[in-house]
Amino acid sequence: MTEYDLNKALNNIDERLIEEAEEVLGNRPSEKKQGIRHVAVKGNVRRRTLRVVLTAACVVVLLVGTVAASGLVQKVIENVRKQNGMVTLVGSQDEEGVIEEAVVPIDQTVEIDDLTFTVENIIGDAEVVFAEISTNYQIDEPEGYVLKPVLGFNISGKALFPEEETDYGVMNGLAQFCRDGKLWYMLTISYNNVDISHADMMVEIKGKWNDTQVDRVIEWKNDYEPKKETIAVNQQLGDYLITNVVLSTTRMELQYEIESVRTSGQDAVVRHKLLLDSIKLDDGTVLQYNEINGFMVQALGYASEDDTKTFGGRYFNLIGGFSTGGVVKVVPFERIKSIVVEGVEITIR
Amino acid sequence: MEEALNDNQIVELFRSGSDSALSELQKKYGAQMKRIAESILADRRDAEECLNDAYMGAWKNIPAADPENLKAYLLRMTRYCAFKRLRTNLAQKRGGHVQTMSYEELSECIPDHRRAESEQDSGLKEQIEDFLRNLSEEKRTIFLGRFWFLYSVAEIAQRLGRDEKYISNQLYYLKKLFRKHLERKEG
Repeated sequence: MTEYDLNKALNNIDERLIEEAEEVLGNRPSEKKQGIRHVAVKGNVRRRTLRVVLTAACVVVLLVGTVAASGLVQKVIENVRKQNGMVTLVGSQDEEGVIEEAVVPIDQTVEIDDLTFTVENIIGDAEVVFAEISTNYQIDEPEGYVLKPVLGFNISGKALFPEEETDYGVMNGLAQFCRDGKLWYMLTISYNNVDISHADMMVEIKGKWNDTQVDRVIEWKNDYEPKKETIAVNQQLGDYLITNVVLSTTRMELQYEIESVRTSGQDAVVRHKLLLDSIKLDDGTVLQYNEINGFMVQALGYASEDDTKTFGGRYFNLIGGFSTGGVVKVVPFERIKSIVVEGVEITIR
Repeated sequence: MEEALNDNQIVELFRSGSDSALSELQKKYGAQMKRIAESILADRRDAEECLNDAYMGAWKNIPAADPENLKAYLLRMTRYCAFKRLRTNLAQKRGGHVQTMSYEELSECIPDHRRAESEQDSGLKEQIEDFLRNLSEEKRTIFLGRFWFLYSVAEIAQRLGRDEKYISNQLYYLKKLFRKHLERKEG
């Protein structure tokens, strides 16, 4: 054992101990400081709030804040850009082949004075749809992900269910790109246990343009047959038994079980981090999983439990989640031969 | 003065892939991350590269990790990056200077018969947690203030409203106690 080992072990101690010391030392962030909270550091009861099973259900508001990045942060941003490189969006061609048959053209446009937004294409599963939105707004940025704020619009999407009052808990993710010198968006609209493959959909664009508050809507109807394939794996991976790999057009789910774990919901999701390293296609191509992208629904999870087991799942996007040579890939799931999780290769076909 | 976003808002910015996330993070926690990095790494460039790694780590991991306590998560990541860089430097004999004594101070607590122990001794973290849980809150805070948050004795004294001599004495006592704890566990 060296001092490094000791410091490393100290670094990884229970977060509650750190929180408690932090509070006493007067370091708590102000929004959490409403009265000194005494954290129980003995015993096994975690104080985390039980939440709904999915890790997040939020509408992402893109591009908030105007703080200028320092040199260091700017350098990090540049690195992120380099890693992302050129982006191949849905419907475009790349050398791996794309799933063009799954892409549904929409071509619905709204105008806000001289500015246009067009839902070009969608691609989806039963519960998730990606909408590719073009604009005529010219930007002077490298091709690929655009990280800095460009337009101050809040863009969100949802399904229009017949029973309007029902809240199914939509999740949105929004990434912006530069493509041919113009601003594009990829909007992810995601539900849990609700089939939206034939739903009426809408995208709402809100914000200020030419000093006027605007609110525009683009509507379309989803009309595609969702594809899904469940492959039994039953492979032990440390404490995890990977039971199934569920593949669909836009994402992959790893379903797992853990013995004798008393935890649930958000807590389990945070603690059970099955990390995906890469996937291998049928021709031997290895695609590294790239967590750095703007698509929100890429590594969500859920978990439930009984007295002896936790059952859970992790989702990984097959769109925007992989890259080789700096080019982001749309992965045709039928061609996935194996996946590498936590350094272990799991052959699925 | 512009108000900093709350932690949930910052995490949401990370999820959206907005570079405002990094700017906001730096605005709110950058100084503390920098202090940790510079407390471990003497070389300014090393500290800067460590911060670079930590920001990159934040960018990569926060969307999936959804940290409950963003600050603790970031400081832990910064410490990890700093120690990793320090070890690399020492291994490469690049003069990885140790800025504070806290890193070396803690090594005094390693029992001699455990120095040859393998790095994969998985019980170490639990042993440290056991040790901390059996301390009073004040002692635990002093120990972590020095060895986790890497504050100087004077800073800890100021934050706890004690005099420096008292904190120094407590640290002396705590180090002895910690060494005994590690010995006892091994034996």
